[in-house]
Amino acid sequence: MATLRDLRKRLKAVNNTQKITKAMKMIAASKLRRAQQAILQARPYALRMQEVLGHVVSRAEVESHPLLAVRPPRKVQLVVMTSNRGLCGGFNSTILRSAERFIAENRPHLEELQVSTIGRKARDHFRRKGISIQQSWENVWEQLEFERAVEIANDLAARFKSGELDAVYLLYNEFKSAISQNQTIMQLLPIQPIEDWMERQAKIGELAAISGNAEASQGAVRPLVMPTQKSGWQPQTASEQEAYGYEHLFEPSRQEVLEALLPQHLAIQIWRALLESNAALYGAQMSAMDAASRNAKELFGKLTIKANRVRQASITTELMEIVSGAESLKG
Amino acid sequence: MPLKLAIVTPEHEALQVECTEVVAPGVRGEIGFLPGHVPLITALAPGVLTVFQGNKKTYYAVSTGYAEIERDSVTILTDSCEEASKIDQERAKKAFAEAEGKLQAVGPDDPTYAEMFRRLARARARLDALARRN
Repeated sequence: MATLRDLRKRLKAVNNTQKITKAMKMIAASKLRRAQQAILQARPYALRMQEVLGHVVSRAEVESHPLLAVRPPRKVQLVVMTSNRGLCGGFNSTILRSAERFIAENRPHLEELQVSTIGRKARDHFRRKGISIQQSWENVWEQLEFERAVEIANDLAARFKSGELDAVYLLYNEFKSAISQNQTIMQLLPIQPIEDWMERQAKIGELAAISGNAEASQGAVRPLVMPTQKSGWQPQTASEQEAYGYEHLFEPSRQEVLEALLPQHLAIQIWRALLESNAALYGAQMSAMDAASRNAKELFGKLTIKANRVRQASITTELMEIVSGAESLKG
Repeated sequence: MPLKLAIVTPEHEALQVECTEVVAPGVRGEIGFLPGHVPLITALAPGVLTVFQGNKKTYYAVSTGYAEIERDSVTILTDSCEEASKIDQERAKKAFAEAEGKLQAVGPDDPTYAEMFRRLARARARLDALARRN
């Protein structure tokens, strides 16, 4: 039986914890708002970029450009994106579990499957498991800048071009709403066009459907299937160009502009994933902290009742002692 | 003001104004856009972008990117864009010195050389924008 003093101590501790979780929830909420704003603000750039690319890409280039080349996937890299810190519910663990399934399922029929990480949680996880990490990009979340996306994109593009990699996939949490995230696997290379940048994302359920894995979409933990490679480029047709009535001039040359635009396009895809994951993180953190606050409140109530009972019990015992003492004096 | 200018970065829509002339840092030297320019797509190098609104000139430090001009609208896509008046001179100078030092530390064969070079160019663009303004 806990003493009254112990109970009071715990009550205080629970109360303090609740204060912390409540504060963390508020912080997450305000950061979430900013993160959502960032997603919206990145959209115009992506759309304009798409427009410009449409003007530059021709059909011949779609088939021949080194960054668009679709090769049978033998050497594949999986980039796993998690956060740096915990206290965000299942945000990281679902991603890491999926990554492991992906590795287990695809490693046997691939010549090579490399794993790279963004965010400390993924890095630490794979290190602990003894899975070798090809590359770990550090300090991405501390200062979320487009520059970082460019660095990652340039690195991946160079290795894809050299034939070191046949395909690159990115596993991350997509922001769905403040209370729900969607783990998503996206094909980074060969480069794909951004269609509608919110809708286009290959959801895991759809991926299962693509590979004809119907029952997979019903299970609680859906297996990750490697997306079928596709290149959905729609270069401007001749009639569209005619409708425009003119063709663009290019400086320095069309080829060089394209050469520079495609890596940029890749950087945008990564940038978007970073922003989405960032927003999703704060969403997850917010709901985790909300649940924690509620639990603390419940626990506080229970402990209060218990403490009151103990207090009352001791008063009753004391009273009994006084009464029985008085009784015995009388006799 | 017959020329519509939009500067868009991945982080936000930096600027949307009407102006009379735009001078942008093209990869082959500065390139000016006036209303009625022939449709053109050009790559931009890190440098100073000048926006003319009548007699008023505004300077921006921009990073690598693209400009697309179509009839009377200019769209600039760039990694970053800062107005000259908002640049902190001390910080810009420090960044430039730092980038220069790093570039000299790694040889031209180093894989990070291109990246360092890019950083240096960006730092120089900021200083140039400040210098033009003053």
